[in-house]
Amino acid sequence: MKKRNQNISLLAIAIVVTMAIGFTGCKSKKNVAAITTEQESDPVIEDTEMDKPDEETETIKETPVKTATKQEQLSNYFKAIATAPSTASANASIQEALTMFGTSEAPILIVIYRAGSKPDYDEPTTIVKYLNYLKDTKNNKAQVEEIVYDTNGKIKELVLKK
Amino acid sequence: MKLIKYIVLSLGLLLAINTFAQNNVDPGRKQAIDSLALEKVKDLSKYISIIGNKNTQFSEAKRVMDRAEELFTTDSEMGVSTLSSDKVNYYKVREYFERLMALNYDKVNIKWYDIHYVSDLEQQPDGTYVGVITIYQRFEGTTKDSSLTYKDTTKKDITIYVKKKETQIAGRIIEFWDVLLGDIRVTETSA
Repeated sequence: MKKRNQNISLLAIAIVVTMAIGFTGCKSKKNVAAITTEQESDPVIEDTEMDKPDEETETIKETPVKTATKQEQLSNYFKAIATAPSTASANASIQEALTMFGTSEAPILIVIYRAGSKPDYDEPTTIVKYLNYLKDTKNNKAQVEEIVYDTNGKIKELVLKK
Repeated sequence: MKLIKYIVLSLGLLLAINTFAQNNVDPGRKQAIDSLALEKVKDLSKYISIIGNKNTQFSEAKRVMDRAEELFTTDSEMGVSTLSSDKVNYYKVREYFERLMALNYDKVNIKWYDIHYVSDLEQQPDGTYVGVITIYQRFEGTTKDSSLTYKDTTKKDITIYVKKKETQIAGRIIEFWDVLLGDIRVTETSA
């Protein structure tokens, strides 16, 4: 009887230790995630050219007025393309919108969900593909969330939010 | 000996706890993934409508075909049925788009509606989410003098695959949800 009680005690200790390790593991992961998230969430607007990843990046803080204007301009182009009465009209708006970007291959990130400060993205695309997407599907639900400029004041990266 | 038994038991329990924690997806995130997949199917319906439309220029149709093809996994097939036969023909998606563009009608109107999940996205052991979305397709083809008109409604099931992937953007690693469509199977055809 005493031996059986000893066995039960050993089993109970083993379960408690296991659960403690399990929860500690989860907590450690959370801590790592929290640190990563903090690093990722720093609102840095890069100034370096995309083909110079090794150079030290310089942080530019866009004035709110300028960002708002560009954001409005972009949103207006998106709306014009999505509601264009003809393909020709949509294509004309696409060509105009592309002048705001350093390259037609500028990357576009689309946030589909945000848990805390780490976003979940749709598959990244390029601005030329995204503008054609608006023309084809008329789906203009995504809003401009962040604009990253190059040294010439052209957009080099865009973050949208659905 | 008993100690070894308890250690093995403990390790098993630890593994179970970790597996449960990993599969426990935030409901908000799951809903966002569901919506994303549904949106891709709606995008495909717009692309098919543009490709089939006789007023679409060849260069535009070709561009849209490229975009539509990108929505699918490699070698995915599309089922095609007619009212005159019980047989369902399956074509690789690119071939289907090319046949659709070349249909011998002067006016083609294709509309997808009632797009919904029939099998929710479920996470597989390899981490991929797999589900099935059903759509109804209304097809109308007419010749110029209206001497020939064909109309049918087809119910189709689309297998959906969603997987988390990584890519590099401006030197940063970006994680994203990759939604791909698999085979599209015809389940019903009516007038």
